[in-house]
Amino acid sequence: MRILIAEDDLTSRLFMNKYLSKYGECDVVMNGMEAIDLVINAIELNDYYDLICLDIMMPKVDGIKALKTIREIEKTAKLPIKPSKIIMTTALNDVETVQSAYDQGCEAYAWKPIDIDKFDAVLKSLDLIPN
Amino acid sequence: MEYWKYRISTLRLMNSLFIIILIWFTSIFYSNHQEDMHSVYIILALGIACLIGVLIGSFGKRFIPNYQTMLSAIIWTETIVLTDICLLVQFQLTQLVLFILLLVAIFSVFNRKVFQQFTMGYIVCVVPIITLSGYDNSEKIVFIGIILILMLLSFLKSNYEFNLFKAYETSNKYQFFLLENALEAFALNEIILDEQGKVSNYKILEINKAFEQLTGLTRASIIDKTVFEVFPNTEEYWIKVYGEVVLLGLQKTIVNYAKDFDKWIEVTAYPVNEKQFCVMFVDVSSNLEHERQRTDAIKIAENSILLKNQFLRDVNHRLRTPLNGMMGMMQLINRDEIKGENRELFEAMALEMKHSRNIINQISKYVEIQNIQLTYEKYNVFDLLTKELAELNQDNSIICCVREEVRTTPYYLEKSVLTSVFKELMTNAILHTKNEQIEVCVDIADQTQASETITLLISVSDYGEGMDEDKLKYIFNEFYHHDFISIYREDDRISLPMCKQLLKSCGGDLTVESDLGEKTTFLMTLPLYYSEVHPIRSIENVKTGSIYD
Repeated sequence: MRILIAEDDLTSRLFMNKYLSKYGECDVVMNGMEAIDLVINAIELNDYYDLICLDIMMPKVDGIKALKTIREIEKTAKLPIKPSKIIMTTALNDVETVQSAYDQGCEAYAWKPIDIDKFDAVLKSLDLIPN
Repeated sequence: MEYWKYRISTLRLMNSLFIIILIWFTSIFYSNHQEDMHSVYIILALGIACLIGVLIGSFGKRFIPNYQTMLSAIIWTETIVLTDICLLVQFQLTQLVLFILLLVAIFSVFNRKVFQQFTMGYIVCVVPIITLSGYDNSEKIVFIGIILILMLLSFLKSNYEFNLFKAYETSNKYQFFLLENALEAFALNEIILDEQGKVSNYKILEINKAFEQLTGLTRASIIDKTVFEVFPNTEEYWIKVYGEVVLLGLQKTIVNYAKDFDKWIEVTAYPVNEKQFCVMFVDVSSNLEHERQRTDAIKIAENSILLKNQFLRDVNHRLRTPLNGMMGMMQLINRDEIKGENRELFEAMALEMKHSRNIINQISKYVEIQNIQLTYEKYNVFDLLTKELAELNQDNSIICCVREEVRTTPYYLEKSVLTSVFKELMTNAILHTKNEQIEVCVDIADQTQASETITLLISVSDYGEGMDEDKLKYIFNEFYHHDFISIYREDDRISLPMCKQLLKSCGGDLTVESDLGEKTTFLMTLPLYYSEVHPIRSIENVKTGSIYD
């Protein structure tokens, strides 16, 4: 499984990388802009991500904007690709942000601190890891 | 003197009554004994003329300019015409005298002196005629008796009239005193029209002391002068406004800056008659300054609250982010590989992390409460509480006593405050009660007087360990935790201090009573409204409590 993690906080980044690396190869970036760049590269190389974890509050381009851009890129890609499963991760727990993320096309939403048992359950429900 | 009891209309009524009795008496006198119906008709015609005169006197002033001059002309014309008629029909001299006296009586209605002269004249002329006439003595006694009644009525009327004029004098004196010593500056003015009939200026007729103080000018230098002579810089705006007041008969209140006084003035102008108008001035410069200062203070307070909340959000996020990472990391550590004392230290560290996270969550909730927008909608309290109870996972038996009115009547209320606080109280009670019963009582406070609101009372009692006085003392202090289990609460719960703050922001409250080892009862109060409300979230509400308390 190809995984992209966008997270600005060092500790959270390390944690996500450590936790998800057991399920596949992880690319880790620090903001939304870098995440978009990697998505474009991956599509060009025809080696697209199966899972993208986006933090909401990130510098340069935040998670919601990055999500929207990634979904647009996927739609306009020259080669047919299977869209990534995108899970938003954030400490924000307000309903409006959650709704906004779902409106932009995310598959799931995980509040920090990430509970790995719950996160595993989400990955299973998205058919990213076997039950 | 109770001068307001005396009315000019009452006096006119008495005059009319007097004249009508007089006419009635005279007509009977002639019709019964001389069988000369001509005189009766003429006297009745005079009576009608008299009544018309009274009506014109009462109401004519409103519609006919110079009505008194006009009325005099009508009456004297009638006198001449009727005298001619009397001569033509060969009336006797006595009758003629009586007619003239009656005409004078009409005029006397409007003139006190003429009335008195007429009354005396009538008595002097009529009594001798009756005495010398050929009537028998019993008839003479009746007639003279009636005349004496008329005299008594005349006396009462004169007395009333005296009191009336005295009342007017008193009233005028009081009014003058009130106006002269009023805090508001007062001026009576008369508009001046130009050739096109437009208001171009106005003359100042009268002012009071406050006006002198406001303008710094003396009465002598103002009275009978035009406004442009006294205040050359008067804006055309004022002339236009006063013109509308007089010509359209409107009352106007405006606040404007007056250059001549260098002040903000609230002016109330109202018409007096077709040319004159009164103006009352109040210097509101200081009021406006106070209002501006108050508005500024509110803005500063609101900004500081916004800044504080922004700061708290920022701190919250900055603390939460690394903590979340650390808590995530700890999940990845294999606990089984940590043995002995290290395991204890690890668990203590994990617990404190959780504790820290909960404090951060409390800060987050605190900021939310600070910014909550109260919305009132119509709900059935019983339905809302029942729903909340159903969502609670608990093994305790809950005994509910609910007032019938709460079961049946919907009210306007702040739903989120009611449900979240009730949920917190119930969760708290469940946490402190192990398989024992919890009592919930929902009631409404008795009202002593009619009001748009009633107070909802909800008590939640648990039979847990209870609390000692120390705990009770600090239980509503923000972030005071002592050894409460509630500090390790889940994210979606709010603390008891916040419950209290939420209720207070809606006009309610939260109190607690406890017997150590026996029972703890939380009592929440919340206003319920019969009709729709639009509450204003005031600074006073917002600033209650501080996390640094």
